[in-house]
Amino acid sequence: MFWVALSAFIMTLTGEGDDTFLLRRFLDRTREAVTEQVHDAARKQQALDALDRTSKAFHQHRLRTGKISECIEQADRKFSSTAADYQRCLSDVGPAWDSAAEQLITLSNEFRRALTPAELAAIRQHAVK
Amino acid sequence: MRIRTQRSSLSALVALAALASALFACGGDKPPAQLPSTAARDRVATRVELVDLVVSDPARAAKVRSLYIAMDELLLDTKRVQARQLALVGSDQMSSDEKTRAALSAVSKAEASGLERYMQLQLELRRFVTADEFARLDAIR
Repeated sequence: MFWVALSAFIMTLTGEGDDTFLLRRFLDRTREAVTEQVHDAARKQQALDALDRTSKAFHQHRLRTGKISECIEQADRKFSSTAADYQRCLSDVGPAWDSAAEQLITLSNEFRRALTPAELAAIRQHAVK
Repeated sequence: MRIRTQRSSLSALVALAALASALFACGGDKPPAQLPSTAARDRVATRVELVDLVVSDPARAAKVRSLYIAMDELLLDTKRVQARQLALVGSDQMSSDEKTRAALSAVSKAEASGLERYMQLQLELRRFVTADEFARLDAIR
């Protein structure tokens, strides 16, 4: 989904990685744009549902990766930590991203299917302003 | 110079994070967690310039500082690799689910390999500090 591009753009600019606030603001602007640009009630609802589920998927992914972060922080803070302690933390990195990727692909396709190319272009323009 | 640039960049992020926290607090919402590589970088970045205050032996202090700098640069590189792949996902070139899946897989692999190397550096760090110095470094927030 194109919001990822904005997130990546921000990451590139700041060099500091993920910025969850701007990503959420971007999703809010996309919701506004869908509400304004899509006049067919059924398709509008489909697009908004896809965005809501994208937002929830993002939160779920961050909850899952947050647990990895907490685990790594615990290992970082213990002088006696071993490689095995860290490996336990890292075991969910791949599965967490794989799951998020599949959700992103599904929701992105749903979002695009709900919109005409003209609507999608207008929403994109509004959302990245 | 590079360290100074990164510190300025970090300050900007902290300011942004504070703004984000304030806005989320207004809405009664909690900001989502950062990615593990981002959170780890935040922790090590604050320690680079404070090593000399904790480790009195110059040789060991230099080594410890170099390890923190290596962690910082490693995690920053990880972010850059991920940003490039995510930019691909968001671009018009991403014409198929397979391409999207491959780009996101690259993001995941960058995170995993970055954290794997970070782990090795963290374990190496313990060879150059005492338990007491480690605890004092850990207390830096």
